[in-house]
Amino acid sequence: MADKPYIHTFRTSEQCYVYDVNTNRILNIPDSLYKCLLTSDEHADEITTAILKDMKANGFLRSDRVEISEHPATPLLPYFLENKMQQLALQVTQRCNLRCDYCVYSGLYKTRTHSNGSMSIEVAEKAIDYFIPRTKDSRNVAVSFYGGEPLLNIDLIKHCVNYIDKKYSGGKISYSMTSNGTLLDDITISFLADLDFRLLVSLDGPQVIHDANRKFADSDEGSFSTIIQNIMRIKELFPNYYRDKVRFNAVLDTRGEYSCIEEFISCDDLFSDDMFNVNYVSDNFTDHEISFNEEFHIDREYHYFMFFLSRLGEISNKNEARSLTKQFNDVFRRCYQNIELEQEHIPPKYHHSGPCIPGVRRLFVDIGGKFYPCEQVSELSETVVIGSVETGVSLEKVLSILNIENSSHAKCKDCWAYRRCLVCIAHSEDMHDSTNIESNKKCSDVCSSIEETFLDYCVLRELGYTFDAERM
Amino acid sequence: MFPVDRESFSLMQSAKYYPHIHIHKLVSIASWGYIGDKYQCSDEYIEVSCDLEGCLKECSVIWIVDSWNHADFNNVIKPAIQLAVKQGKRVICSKILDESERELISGYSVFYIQHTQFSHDVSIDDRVQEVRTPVVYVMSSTEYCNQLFIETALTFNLRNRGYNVLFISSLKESVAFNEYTIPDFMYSERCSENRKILSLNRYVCHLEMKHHPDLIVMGIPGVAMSYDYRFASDFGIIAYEISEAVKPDFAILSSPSLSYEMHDFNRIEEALFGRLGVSVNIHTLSYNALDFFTNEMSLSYLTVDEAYTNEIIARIGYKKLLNLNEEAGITLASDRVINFFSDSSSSVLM
Repeated sequence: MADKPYIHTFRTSEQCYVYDVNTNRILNIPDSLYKCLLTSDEHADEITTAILKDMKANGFLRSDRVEISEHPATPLLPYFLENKMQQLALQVTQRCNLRCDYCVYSGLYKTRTHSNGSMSIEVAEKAIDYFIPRTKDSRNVAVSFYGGEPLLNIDLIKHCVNYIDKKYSGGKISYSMTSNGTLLDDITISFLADLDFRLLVSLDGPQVIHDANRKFADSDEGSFSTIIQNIMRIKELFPNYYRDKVRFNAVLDTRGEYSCIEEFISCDDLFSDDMFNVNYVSDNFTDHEISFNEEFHIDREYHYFMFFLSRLGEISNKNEARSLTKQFNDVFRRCYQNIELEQEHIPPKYHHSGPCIPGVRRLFVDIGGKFYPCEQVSELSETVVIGSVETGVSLEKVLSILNIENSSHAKCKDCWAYRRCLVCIAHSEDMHDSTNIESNKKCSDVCSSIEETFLDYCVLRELGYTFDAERM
Repeated sequence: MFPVDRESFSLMQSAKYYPHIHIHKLVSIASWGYIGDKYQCSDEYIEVSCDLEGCLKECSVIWIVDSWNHADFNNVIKPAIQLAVKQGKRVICSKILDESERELISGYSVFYIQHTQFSHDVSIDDRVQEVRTPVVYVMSSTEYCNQLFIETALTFNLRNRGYNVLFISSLKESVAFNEYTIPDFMYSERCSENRKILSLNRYVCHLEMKHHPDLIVMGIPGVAMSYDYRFASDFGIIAYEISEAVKPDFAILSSPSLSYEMHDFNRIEEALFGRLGVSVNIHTLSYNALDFFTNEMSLSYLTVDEAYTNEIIARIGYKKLLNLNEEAGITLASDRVINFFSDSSSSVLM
């Protein structure tokens, strides 16, 4: 394995490609070379041999692999934690007025469940006082509010904003919130608009889809009507704020139909391009099987195909699926832009991509004041706790989570998706040691997803599509 | 000094060499994260405050400085100036303000610090004249390489050894210290590149004739060359123009702290020689690292410390690599400058 080129071959219907891991490049290659690389055939014809030689002379097809697993940010970690925190996420309450079927706190997942707990003023202030002096090197600093449903503790949110305004004035800090959208009265809307809160509202699609899963806790009735009424009110009172700062998150129910979700997003005047972020029901740390309707998948693939035709100019872009715009941009931005320093080869000491720097990109604080890397980890696992408002962030814990490859290096170092991996601690299944991701079922999903992205990217390039930052 | 952040660190450190400038208070914006931190100015450590009004009472001048963080003119700068004027304090401003902003405070007496002004008629037939005095360049690979401190500290170390050093600073703030700077026409959009080069040459020759220095220390504004194809800064354009106007005899390059290997310095030296005709004699690393992790789309910086930087220097063991953020390193650099020119057959430095 050590001498084998560190590559991954794939082909579209028209052409063949090799992804060179060392140089992080996708190369278009002739069919003969593709077959040669696929089978490791050493008896290639003259032309293929010449191409191989040329590629090697230009630094491709190297067999270098990572020898020592260490995230390159490791030596700088103390400085990141001291100077470059970026986002503070406060779990202001664990209460929620909805009981969504797929909620990660519903009891189907290996994390906490709904509770009546809320964060105290003291914990919130301590978290803010800990965070802000550690943001010196960050130009954009955000404080976010989560739940449960954060608006159930609007008083604490207001207190936090006033506290920051009084003690840390100067306008560097922006605010955001993820909300179920049911408690947005005029006073709350004004408060959010005045402070330019980035508001992410959960809305799963048309009423029949949304209400199937997102129901009020006290009545079992769907929440759709209430939410739509509220967001129409935001648009009426503060149209610019609505256009610029309000976004929606749809969790797609794969048992249903994709078309009706897309029609809902595309046809309703309430929603413009790029307002919707779509996700699937989480399959992280659960044994619960996520149902997957084949028709949903086919329908979605059809819309994706139409989306590509639209981008290629083959059909009018008014047919373009809005639900796919953001996804397209995000995915292909990752593919198109080389986000790493140009390297001739993968360094001998390195780490697969995927983990962010815990506590730096986001410092998530639960109601009791414990620190976590983000809100997506299991709150039942002690290994993901990186500190508290009393003790601060533990460098040791952060190092362990950042260098998550330590437990799986033997497997990871030969994986062609090494530089493009998306696996992090939030995908860990091991509740006793979340840094153990060796048996991670996510790996094959991630590889499939990356290869699919590569294929789509190459097909679009074959058909003449130009990727550029402006269009994305 | 207000509003302070990483942009003013080098300035604070440099001020200690000028007894007539006493920085007494450092004031920052509360949300920037500096409140309560202490920084060395002159011989003392000063704690950063957010109480502008209180600090103004103990000072005679407010120095409005440029900042890395955005300081809103209407909500931050203008009120600060108004407060200072109300308290009868002098206002000096090195922060770049546009015309409309200056117009809004035109009713207040504000002294704007600007680059040294120099005008000289140059004709199309003019040629670059030789600068006979040895010239030391101080340059940076990126921003925040503590260049102003290095240029200033080196100048004073040499002056304290009895040398008559003409210092031409990279930053306009040095005008507040009664030093010369790279002149204003180098930044003008109305001046052709040819004219800039010739005029700069005349400027240095003029200063050379006026002061008869033993040595010229020139701080090179901007970057020596673009870092890579994504992070180009000013592409090293001013550095190139300066190198055409005044050839250096000795060069110091400050770079951010990264996990370099020996060959990285060789590559940098080759590239700079090819581009500017400059041989780097001393490298140094700043207490800033490049951050490639938290923002994929742009170059950003991470504050590190002496321990991190010294570890890199010790590991590489390259004799040209010194730590010029401290006086000890500056003294070593001074020794090398003196030895270099004393050994050189064309040197006039005794």
